[in-house]
Amino acid sequence: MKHLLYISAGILLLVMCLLFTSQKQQGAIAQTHTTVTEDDTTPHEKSKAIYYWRTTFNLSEQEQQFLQKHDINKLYVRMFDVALEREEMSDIWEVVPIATTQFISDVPEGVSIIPTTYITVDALRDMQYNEERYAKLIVERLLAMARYNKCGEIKEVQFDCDWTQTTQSIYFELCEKAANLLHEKDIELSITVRLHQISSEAPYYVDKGVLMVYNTGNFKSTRTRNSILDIEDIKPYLKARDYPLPLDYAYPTFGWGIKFYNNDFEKIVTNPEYELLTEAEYIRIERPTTAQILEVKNAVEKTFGKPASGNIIYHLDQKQLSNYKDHEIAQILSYN
Amino acid sequence: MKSLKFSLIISLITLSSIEAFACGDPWYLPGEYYMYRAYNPSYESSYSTSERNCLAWQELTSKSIPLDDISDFVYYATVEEVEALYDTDNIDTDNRFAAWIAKNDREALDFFYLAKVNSDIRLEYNSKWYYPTMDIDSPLTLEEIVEKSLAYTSPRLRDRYLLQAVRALFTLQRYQECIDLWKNEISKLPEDNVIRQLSRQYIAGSMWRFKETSQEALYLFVELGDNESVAYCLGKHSSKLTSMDIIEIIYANSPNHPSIAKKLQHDINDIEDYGHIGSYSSSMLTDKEYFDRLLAIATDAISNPKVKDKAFWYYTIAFILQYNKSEYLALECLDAGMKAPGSDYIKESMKVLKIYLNAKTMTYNQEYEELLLTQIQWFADKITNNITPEVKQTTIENYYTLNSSRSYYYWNDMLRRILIAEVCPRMIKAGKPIRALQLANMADNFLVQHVGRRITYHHFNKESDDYIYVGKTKALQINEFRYDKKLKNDMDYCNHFFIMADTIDVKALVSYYQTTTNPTSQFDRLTNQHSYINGEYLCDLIGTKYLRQASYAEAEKYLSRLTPLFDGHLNVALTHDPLASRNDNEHIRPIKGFRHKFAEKMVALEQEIAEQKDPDKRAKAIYKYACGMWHSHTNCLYLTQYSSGYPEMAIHLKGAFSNKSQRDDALKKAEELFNQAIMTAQSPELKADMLYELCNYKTIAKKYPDTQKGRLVRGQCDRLIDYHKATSAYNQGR
Repeated sequence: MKHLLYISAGILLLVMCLLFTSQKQQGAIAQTHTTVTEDDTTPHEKSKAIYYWRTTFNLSEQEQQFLQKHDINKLYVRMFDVALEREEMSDIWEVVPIATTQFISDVPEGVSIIPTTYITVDALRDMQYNEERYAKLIVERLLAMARYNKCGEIKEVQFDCDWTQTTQSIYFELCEKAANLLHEKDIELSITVRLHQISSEAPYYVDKGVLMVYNTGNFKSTRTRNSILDIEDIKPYLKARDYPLPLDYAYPTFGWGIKFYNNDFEKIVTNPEYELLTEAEYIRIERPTTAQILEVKNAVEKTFGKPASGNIIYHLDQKQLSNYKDHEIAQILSYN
Repeated sequence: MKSLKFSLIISLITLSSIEAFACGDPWYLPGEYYMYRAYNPSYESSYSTSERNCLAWQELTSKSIPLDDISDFVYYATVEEVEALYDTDNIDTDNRFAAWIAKNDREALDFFYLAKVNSDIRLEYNSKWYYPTMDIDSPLTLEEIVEKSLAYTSPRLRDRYLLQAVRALFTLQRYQECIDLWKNEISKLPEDNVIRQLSRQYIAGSMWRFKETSQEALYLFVELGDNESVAYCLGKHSSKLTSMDIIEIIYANSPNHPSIAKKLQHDINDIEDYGHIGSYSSSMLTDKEYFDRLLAIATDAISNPKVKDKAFWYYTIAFILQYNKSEYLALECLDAGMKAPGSDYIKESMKVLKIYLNAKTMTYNQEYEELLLTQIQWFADKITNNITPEVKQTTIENYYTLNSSRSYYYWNDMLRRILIAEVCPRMIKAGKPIRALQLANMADNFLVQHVGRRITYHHFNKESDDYIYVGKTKALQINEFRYDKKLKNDMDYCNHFFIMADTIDVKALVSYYQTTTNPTSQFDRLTNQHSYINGEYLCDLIGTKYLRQASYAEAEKYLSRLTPLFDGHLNVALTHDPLASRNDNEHIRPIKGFRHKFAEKMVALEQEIAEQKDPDKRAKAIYKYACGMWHSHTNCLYLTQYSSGYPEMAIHLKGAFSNKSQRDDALKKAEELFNQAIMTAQSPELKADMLYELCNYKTIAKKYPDTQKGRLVRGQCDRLIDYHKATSAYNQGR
């Protein structure tokens, strides 16, 4: 029994790393349209997109079928995180790429890849005065990975960062330098936009933004109903405003359990059904329903307008997606 | 009884683990010196690989170029700096090596250009940012570097170009070509060729890629000390790799490799230190687990025809046996090992271990004394004949007391460990305290006496600009140090001989003193020869012990032999008058020969007490005598002690201030004498005076109200009572 607990804990840690260490969430420019390439896309047609947020790119058969079934033609693939790490030999802290995604399966035909990277705030802080150098390293590495792993023609690259007021100028500088490099190659730079960033400025030179409409609540609080998505948590941000970048919207199609001990947050569990509970423990199951997602979608579009390119879902994971019916996914991705 | 006390103290000292002493005192106790000695450091080159590389470049260019300049250029010059040297008309460098090759050695310059470019590219490749297909901005590609390196055929720099080729090929993941270069050329270079040695890590890495050479690779990694790679090869996380894993690999591949002895010595010294292996993962192996695995290797080794130095393995087994308290088996193992083939180095270690085991197991009779005499003579020769300038300097710098590192001179360490931790306590138990004193003195003083000098730190000046403190040092002859009034003599009042002398029965110390003045045996003569024999020092110790037990005539007899100069030898001086009234706390100027003068006065008072017929005069003498006895254990503590009881000097070695019962006895006796003086006195005025000095105001007021002191007490009662209370509290607090 203990083994089961350990395994569960291990899986949980892994998921936490994937979901929280990175705190990634992104959007995409989707183009609704069943044809495959950007070249074929007419301006009024929108695409459908999904995030791929694991350290191994290995699509299962069901996941490939999912892409086909829903005409998803854009895949935002996390390539690596940029973090601050101590180099053991020299005992120096340095900004380095970590958790580089290993490509096992081929990129599916007819799907455009948007190489994406998550930048930690610690790393960002350490980049100050060296923004140009790191912009070059990040961009070159993303493109090299795309090239090496035969990701096809790259039209867009995305940065994901939970920047704060104190790191805003560094991030904007980094984006500017990266955009300059990318624009020389006719590649666009998009960024993720968290709800709390929607009222801030946006970095110059960036071409697009993806509003992350998930992880909206405080998961550690017992008063939170659903930390992944709750219209009540989103409402404060829904004030009509001209955000300087064209925006797409990313919606959640995943769930988890939040385990509490004596009303104190204990951990996030990915398989609540396997968790053993004592009398002092309980698990809050969180998984937004399609109705909830559509309610939020409606409210977001009402405030910020239709997505510039299309809708995105987070994220490509067969087990999570199996909780949603095909027509529900279609509704979430639908431009209309 | 006192012998027993000393035994207990010594046992406590030797049984206790690491004991921290205040600055200036020995950090470790003799029982904790490392004993296992298997690795002969003379096997090692005194130069590092990079130093040897620079020496090789000096040989290839000009011996007039300083090594520092070569090192700066070889290891730190950039591609741009090397490129700039091609412009011979505008050479702008302070580096003499760079200037020399720019002017005289185009061949070397070309090599450095290629090597620096190679290094830069490899740095990019090895960067965590690198990903295949990333563009690297460089004047040459790695492929071109390989090509150019292999195209160079002149013998002068051929080996260096081969290393560059190996480095580039390795980065390009062309591992088989690396191995081919090694097999065809590099491995044929002499073993001590620095380029051959620098190539090994790449070759090991290459070999690991192929099943047929993976074992060879593992061994190369072991040789290189690359434990991360070894762990990787073994499929372990490096934190799970133990030192014994490494030793087992080396033994399996090369049972005579000197690194086995080196690693064993390191590990076993760790076990001697902590009881487990401190290196690698400290929590991985207990001493038992480690020794069990080591015994398996050692048992195999003594019957393995490939093993040359079998004595080394017998020694290792014997060491483990003695560590596990099987001393007799260990002795048998040593006897067998002595007959086995082995180096002189290991045979000497075996002899030391045998002497140690003899000390632990033999009966302390005449036969053992005779054996011990030959053994300490052997040690004396070893200490004298093996002393190096480094040992000498370390001793002069008082390393053994100041540095936290445990051992620095094996022969002296072992003499101290065996004599102080093993022989002396057993000698005392066997009723031979004189032998114990002789051996403790020799163990403590042999090396210091032999070196004869000591560095002292006199001043510390603060440099106002950068706040750096500078210590001014001075090397003194050993006796200058001992007698310098400004310096603390931490040798003679802070060692094991001193503790023993300070706590042992005074009669034993007197007998010991006699053996120093009239040696009657070879044992006496040998130990005297290597001990600190200073009659004044010993007489002061004896006299002070007699003062402590209030045997003033005996004390006077020994203290009278001291010259005024001896005051400089001591760390203490007299600051109060010992014959003043009991509550007199006035400071006085230091008195020369204070212990002797005090003894003389106490003897004179004893005589007066015995002969004086006038009761008041006799009472005064008794009172003064009582004051002397009282003060010699309170205000004038240094009459009977060598330390004030505060954290300095010998207090940390437990002996000097441990005579609490003697102190209590003396204070009790003094109280009795005060009462006796009052009883003896006839004059009410005298009685009242004495009572007043003893602060017995109530008694004065009650019994002698009409005396001068009686009137004083009655008139200022409250204030005096307050004063009395305060004084009592003060005295109790001391």
